[in-house]
Amino acid sequence: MIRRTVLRSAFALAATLLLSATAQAQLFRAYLASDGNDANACTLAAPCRLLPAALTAVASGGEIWMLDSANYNSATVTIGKSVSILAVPGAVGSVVALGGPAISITAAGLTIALRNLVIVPLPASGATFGVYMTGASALTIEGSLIANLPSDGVRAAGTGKVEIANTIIRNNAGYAVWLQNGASADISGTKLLNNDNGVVTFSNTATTTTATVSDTIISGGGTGIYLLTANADGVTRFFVTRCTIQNTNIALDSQTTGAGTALLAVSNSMITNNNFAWSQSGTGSVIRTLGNNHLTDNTTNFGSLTLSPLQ
Amino acid sequence: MIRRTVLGSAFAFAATLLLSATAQAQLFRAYLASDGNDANACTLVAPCRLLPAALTAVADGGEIWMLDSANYNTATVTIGKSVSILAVPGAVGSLVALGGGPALSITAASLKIALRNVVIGPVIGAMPGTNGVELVSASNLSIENSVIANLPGHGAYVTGSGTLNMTDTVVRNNSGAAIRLQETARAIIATSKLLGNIQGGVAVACDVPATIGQASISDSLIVGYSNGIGNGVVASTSTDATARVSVSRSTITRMSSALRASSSGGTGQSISQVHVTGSSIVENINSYNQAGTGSAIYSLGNNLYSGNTTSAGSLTPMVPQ
Repeated sequence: MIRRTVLRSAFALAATLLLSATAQAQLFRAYLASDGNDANACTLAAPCRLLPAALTAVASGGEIWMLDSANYNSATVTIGKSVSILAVPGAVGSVVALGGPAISITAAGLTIALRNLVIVPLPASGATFGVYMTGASALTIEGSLIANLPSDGVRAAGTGKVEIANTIIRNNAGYAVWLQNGASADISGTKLLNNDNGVVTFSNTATTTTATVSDTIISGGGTGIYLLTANADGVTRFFVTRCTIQNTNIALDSQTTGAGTALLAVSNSMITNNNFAWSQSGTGSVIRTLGNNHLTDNTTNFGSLTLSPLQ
Repeated sequence: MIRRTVLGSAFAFAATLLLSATAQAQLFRAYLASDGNDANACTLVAPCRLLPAALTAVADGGEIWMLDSANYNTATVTIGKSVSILAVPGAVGSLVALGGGPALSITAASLKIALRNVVIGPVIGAMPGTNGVELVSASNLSIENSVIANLPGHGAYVTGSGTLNMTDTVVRNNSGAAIRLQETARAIIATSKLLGNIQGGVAVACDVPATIGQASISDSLIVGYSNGIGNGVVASTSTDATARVSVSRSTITRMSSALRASSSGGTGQSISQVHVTGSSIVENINSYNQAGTGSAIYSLGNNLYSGNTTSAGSLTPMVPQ
């Protein structure tokens, strides 16, 4: 843990800013750089070095800019205010997972964006997830890479909302995206490659967990799209549009443990070279197809597809 | 062996990270730069010059960063550990194929390797190389946001149960195919451009009995070198093997045959299949070219076939679901 020494800062202005507890005295934009120093004020002229210092310095609703290619954390970063964190285009903004997730969001009511970040684990460091959100906040991940983690790339458990756009999530030894008990996600223009599993919506309480995935490639692993409802009052819903799902054991898996709802609908997608094209099991589970999907070169399937008319 | 001096680093933070990384004292991130030196420790303050030094210095599961625009190899580089190799955005991370070999070779199994933002090409005036990237083992290779161009061989060549994930990459003007898969290789190609490769776009050729090779191509563009040369996608077998190609939401144009399935040899289990959906097959000599028992080209009924000169064999309607 890096200890901040802001009170000893040479920058009187910084001390003034940081001593003030009010949002108005905090920065709209806080800056990080590879030659920054956490004793600085996190301004453009005097950037900080690590994310926790910038998160302290930035105002709620503000931005943190990573100015050059470097790693910007040394432990799990808990984001406790609304903020956009981005590496400027041309820089690799690295945040590593070690001793837990790289980024954790536990508070509710926040709006957080991550842009142009690279999230990977430090090998053999006790890393878990890439991004872990348990709070009822809204998280957007854009143009980023989340790779090689020993668990899920992104996990949201609780009633948070996740938007993932134009991002690569690959080679993670868990789910690319895990959504549980009230979480919702919208994933577009994204590549989910060679993870142990793709995307799951999982309700084992009386909650509704939903996802939409569009214009996205899912390849490899145990399941591509997985709905699991394990509570009689639980609901999972999943909508797949213009996607390719391949090289999985089960491309489309809609399952209840005997009650509840698991609704999966698929349109304009290619499902190819999987072991199971689909698996539909348990009372209350359904897989609707729009009659415009390409299902080929899959070995087998289980349960039934329900054809829905085009409208 | 390069002796590292991380504890002497001016960056206390770097030391912290590295200490937590190690049993082997290897680097989580190894760095290369145009003014680097292979006698250095490959750290940010003392980067190395060439890729082999960084591969020695980096830990399994780590990363190699090319910090500025330069060429980073002088011979075929064999990657023997799981690693991500990337040029930082804004830099040209060049790797060349020369001396009768590929630029990059992967021969070990069970690795996870990623190339990001690299440019692979030939060296004019040197002994010619072959392919851009060769994967001949059961490892998983991701190529992202890269360029593979102007090589005497294939852009990427995969065999021996390797899996290639190619996204957002341009493979252009190579004398071979953009991507050639043999035997039990697999490829997932998405949002990529395969342009003007003389032997065509994606070829899956399974000529060893009982092997299954397959490729899927989504949201991509495949353009020929000139009309009548090369095929867009090919599934071919010359024995009792299976070759499959699936194409979705893509465009194939200016080819000899846009869609090619060819079965021959074997004892009746020579299977070659092409499936196509939501795609445009335009301005080719043959829109499709299906030949031999066991070969088939399936079309989902939502493709555009226009401006093609002719076709050979038959197109099989496929029922959408």
